[in-house]
Amino acid sequence: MDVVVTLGSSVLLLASVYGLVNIGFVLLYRTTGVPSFVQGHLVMLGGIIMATAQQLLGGYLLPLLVTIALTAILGWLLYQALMRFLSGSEEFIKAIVTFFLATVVAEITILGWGQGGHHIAQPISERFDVGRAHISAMIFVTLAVLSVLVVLLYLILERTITGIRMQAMAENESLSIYSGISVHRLSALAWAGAVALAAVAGISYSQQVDIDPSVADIGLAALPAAVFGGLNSIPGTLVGGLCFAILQTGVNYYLGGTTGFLAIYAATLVMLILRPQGLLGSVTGQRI
Amino acid sequence: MNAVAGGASRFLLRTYATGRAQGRATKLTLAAIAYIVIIASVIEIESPVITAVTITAAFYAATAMNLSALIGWAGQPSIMSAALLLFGAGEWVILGSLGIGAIPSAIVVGASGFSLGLVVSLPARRLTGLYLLLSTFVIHFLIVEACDVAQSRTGALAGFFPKPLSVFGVQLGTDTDWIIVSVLFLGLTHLYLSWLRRGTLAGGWRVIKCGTNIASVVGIPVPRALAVAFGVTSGWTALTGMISSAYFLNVSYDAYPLLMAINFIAMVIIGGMGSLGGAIFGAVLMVGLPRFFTNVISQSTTWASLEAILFALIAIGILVFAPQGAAALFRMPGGSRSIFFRTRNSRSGTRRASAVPDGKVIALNEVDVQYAAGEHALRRVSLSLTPGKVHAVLGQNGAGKTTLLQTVAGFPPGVLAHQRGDVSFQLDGNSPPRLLHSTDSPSVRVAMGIALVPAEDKIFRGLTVRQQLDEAVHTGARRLGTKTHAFGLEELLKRFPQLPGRLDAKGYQLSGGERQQLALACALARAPKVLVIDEATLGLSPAIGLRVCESIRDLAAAFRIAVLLAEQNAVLAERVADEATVLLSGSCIYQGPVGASLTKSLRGAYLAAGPEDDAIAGSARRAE
Amino acid sequence: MGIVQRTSIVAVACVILATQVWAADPEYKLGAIAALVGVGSYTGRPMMDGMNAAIAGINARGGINGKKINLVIRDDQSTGNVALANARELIADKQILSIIGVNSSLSAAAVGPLVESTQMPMISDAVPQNLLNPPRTGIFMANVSFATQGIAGVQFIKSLIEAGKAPSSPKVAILRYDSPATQSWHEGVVNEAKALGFTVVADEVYALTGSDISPQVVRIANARPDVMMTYSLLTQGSLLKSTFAAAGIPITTPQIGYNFVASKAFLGQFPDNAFFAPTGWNGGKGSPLEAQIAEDAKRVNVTADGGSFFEGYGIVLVAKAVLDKCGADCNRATFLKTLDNLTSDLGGFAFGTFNYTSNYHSGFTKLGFVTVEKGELVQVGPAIAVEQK
Repeated sequence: MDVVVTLGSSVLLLASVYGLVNIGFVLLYRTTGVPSFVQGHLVMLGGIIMATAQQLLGGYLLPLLVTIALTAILGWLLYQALMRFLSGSEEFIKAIVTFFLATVVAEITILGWGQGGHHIAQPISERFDVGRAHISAMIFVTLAVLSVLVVLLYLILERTITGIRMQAMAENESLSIYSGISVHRLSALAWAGAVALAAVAGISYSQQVDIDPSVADIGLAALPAAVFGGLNSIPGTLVGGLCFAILQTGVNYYLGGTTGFLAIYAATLVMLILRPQGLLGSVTGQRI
Repeated sequence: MNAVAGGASRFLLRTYATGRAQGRATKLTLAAIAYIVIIASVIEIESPVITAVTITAAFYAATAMNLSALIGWAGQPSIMSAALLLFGAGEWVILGSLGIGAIPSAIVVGASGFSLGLVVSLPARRLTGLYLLLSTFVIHFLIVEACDVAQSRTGALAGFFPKPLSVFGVQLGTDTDWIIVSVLFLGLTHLYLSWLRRGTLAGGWRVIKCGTNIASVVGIPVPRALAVAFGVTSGWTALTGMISSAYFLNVSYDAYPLLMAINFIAMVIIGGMGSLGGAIFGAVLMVGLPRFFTNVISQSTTWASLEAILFALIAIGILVFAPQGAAALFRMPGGSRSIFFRTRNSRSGTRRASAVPDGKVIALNEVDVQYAAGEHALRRVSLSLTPGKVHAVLGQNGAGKTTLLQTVAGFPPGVLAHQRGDVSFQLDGNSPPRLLHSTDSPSVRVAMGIALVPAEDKIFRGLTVRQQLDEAVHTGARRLGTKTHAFGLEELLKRFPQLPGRLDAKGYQLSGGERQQLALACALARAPKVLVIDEATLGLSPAIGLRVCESIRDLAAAFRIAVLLAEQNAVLAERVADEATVLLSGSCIYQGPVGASLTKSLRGAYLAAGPEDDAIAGSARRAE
Repeated sequence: MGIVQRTSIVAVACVILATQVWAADPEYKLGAIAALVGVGSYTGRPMMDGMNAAIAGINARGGINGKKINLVIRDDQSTGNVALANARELIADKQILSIIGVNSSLSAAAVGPLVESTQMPMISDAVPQNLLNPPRTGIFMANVSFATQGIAGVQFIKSLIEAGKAPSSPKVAILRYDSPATQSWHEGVVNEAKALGFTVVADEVYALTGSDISPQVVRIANARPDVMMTYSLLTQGSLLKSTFAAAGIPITTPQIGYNFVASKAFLGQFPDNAFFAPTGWNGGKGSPLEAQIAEDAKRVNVTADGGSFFEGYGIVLVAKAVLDKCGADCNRATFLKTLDNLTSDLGGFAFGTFNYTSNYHSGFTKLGFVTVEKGELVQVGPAIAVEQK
């Protein structure tokens, strides 16, 4: 029973982190049409900025706000200084650029902060005791934050004019420009949002781990989850994250070590072959 | 003897300088000489660093060449190269430990790599672009993680130690052996892929790269061609992995990270996608330069980080400024001008615009357009647009119609055009005239009051009709600065009777005629003063095409919009336009009212009118 | 290819060529391989600091036999493959007398066969058990072997029992990450626990690159251990703390680690006298070389803390002892011969005398255990004699 509780809360947290990582990823993908392979590194960077801000300012809320503001600005800059010049390039090229961007972010982090781990003090340390196991109250805060963000993103994308424009941009950049959509402004906005969301994901993840360069690997696990659930479906990416959190933790528990990742990639490949648009994704009649 | 030597060296020098070799045999000989010279000099120099760089770069170049063929010739993105190397290396570990010799193992490795490629091509039949990239991404991790688990389970955490390779009884052990073998292997790869490139297989791949629909229409068995493309390149890469593992002495999953696969892509990009020699260039650069930095500048880890950043930035720079690769940048005559164009266009000057003639809203004056690739698309064309009137642009494919439209409506993103001559825009008598530069983006022009309906991809496939109309109405309202829309949703729906019943249908579910209606409705909703339409009747039946053109004419008159309409179908254009410009190879050969003289010049520019024109004329007569 | 490309290739080649100019020098040349980036850098960098400090000190004090030490450094990026390439390069340089460092057991395992076949002396602090027993030509461990650390750690439980910190028949849980080093350590632990009659109630392994260890910790918690043998990364202190807390393991449960967590920074994260680490190098408070070490550390601007720092320092002292005996015209072969029969107390830097024999290539004879008390690193009890296994 204790095992179930502890593992269960671990799964919940992992699923929430995957969800948060993927929200930023999906926002970018459904706005700019770019699959961003740098999301994991931005998660790590966000976590490190928060740790530093906490060291300098103390507390939790103030560093949190500062981190979100800084990372949003960083995202905006990333677009204006780099990604905007790729306007008109093939998707494949844009994706490759984000790979190299990941290298840059990784190295800058090492240069600036070294290789060690950074600890983020959590604001709430209450725990619920279930038998001998403990569930941290922070997990519920994380879930709540995730839910709010998801609902917000869904509403924005589907129900506002801005959201419709973002979707238009992702589908056909050229036509969007000819339709008078301010592609650059909206893309910069999407990047700002995505990087800030990555920071939130990193801060949530810090409940369980210290932020060190290996945290960036979470992007490599979250992306298959988004693909599995459906890249063009917001509920899909969440479902994918939950499925994979369960799969990964379960397989690791029973088979040990690194077999969890193997299971994840196998599942993703099968999904890509059988139903490429993902569990909840929809086919838009376009050849993907 | 001296004369021969002199002649030979002059020949070599000339070939080196001009990059051209006469005849294939000469090319082959030159390449062979180059390879031999490299082998000999590296052995002579006896520097451990140069030896290590040469051997490593040779193996990586062979891998990069295969990737370059896959991406450049068949248009299939793949991030699996590192995993394929690991696959081949892992197999040799197993085969070697079973006592199987080098040659039979090579055959097994090649064949199994080929089969793996076939399996990978399965997703490629249904997925393209991003999704194909994702599936190769997943396969990379599957192979690497499987090796990780295997190492964990067998306790070989530091990796497996492959058996040494023996070729024809000679065991490959010393560095000299490896210099010879690696460079010869590279040469063999180069030879093999060059031969492949000239074959029908590669020809088929090139067509597939343009589009699989075209390919199947032309009769190319697409699934089979894709399978072979993946199979061949994967098999050879696996073989490279096997041979190189005997040099690197250790096979461990962490020696083949995703970063390595990305570096291979970088090598291909730097050298030019599809260029075999470019792959060598890319490999040498990416293997050699970091060693140079480490040896000469600093061994500190700060420098290691800075150097990694530098490389990433260089790769990004190339992707941004010259995605066809650094090779293309230096090779194409107009290639280097792309950067030149960017700077020149941004300084297109802030000359005062001359006023547009009375009653006109747009005037083109001696407009001349050249593209970065060198094509001269428009030659000194002038015309002007009147609100309420339809001006047709006629001409064959490639005559320059679309370019002319783009000088008014704006060029698509990523297209670099050098425009001379003035395009002046004056909203009405009270506003100041404004010059439109080729760098003014289309979305800026929409805000000014110029809207375009493109020839293809006119609407958004994933959005519903209602969403697209709402969005367009919003844009129009913002342009006019009022809360009350110039065109409300209801008004628009009245004018386009096919739309009200399809409000919740997504773009891809609409028929051709419905799409055209939606595109026009959206353009109209943006409250333009100038409406630019490219090929209004493409893909429509003659009767519907006529109806569309007539509604355009009515809208123009009703809302006092100046319409610029590019049409291939001369008969249709004649029915709806007030004036016409006829283009031939970028030059204007007629400009004036629609009528008899127009028809005469059209006969000169066109093939004779086809049967559809009679049908159009027929239905027009019936309508009257 | 365009002309620019071809010329660039030639230019790059020329430049690389140009860097190969050596000056003949009256120095002893040694080659160091260390993980300066990546997972292994947490111990690689302190070890490098220790080596640099020791060499700076030696050179400042006049060198050995009138010659200074020149250290060629290569970063193996925590990858065995790269370590192999580095080793190859160092071996090809005939002037290099020995490879020192190699802080990652993965790198040591990868490099081992090559070092052995080329008879290049290698003094590393992370040689896995299979390369030590039987001993291989050229491969020397300047550290207590991993297995011996495990054995000694279990023997230390006896002093915990005497001090009343553990019951007389303690339940032992083992937690480690996956690597050749920890595997060797694990063997030692399990064998000695059986020999002393301690029950092993949980035996868990986690992936080196994973950051979620809760499944394993949950199973340990279920077994309710009295003592834990923990071999984690240097940076995973707070991970351990938070995961233990979540699973309900009291943080005061005695834990015994291994030597590279013998630092104030790591041990200080746990309550006083809760976490113990073995160490063979006596460089801390009250040791005979305390002042010299502090001075040398200041010379290269580093902090003298942590098991790995002292290991690096110690490795250089071993090399110095060899060079002292080997003489001014030492070459690789004579270096190897001298190393193989080395006996020295390294100026008091080791607990007891440090011996290499041709039967055993790990030199320690005594091991001390340290913990943190009131913010200071203190030794618990006298050093215990170890029989290298």
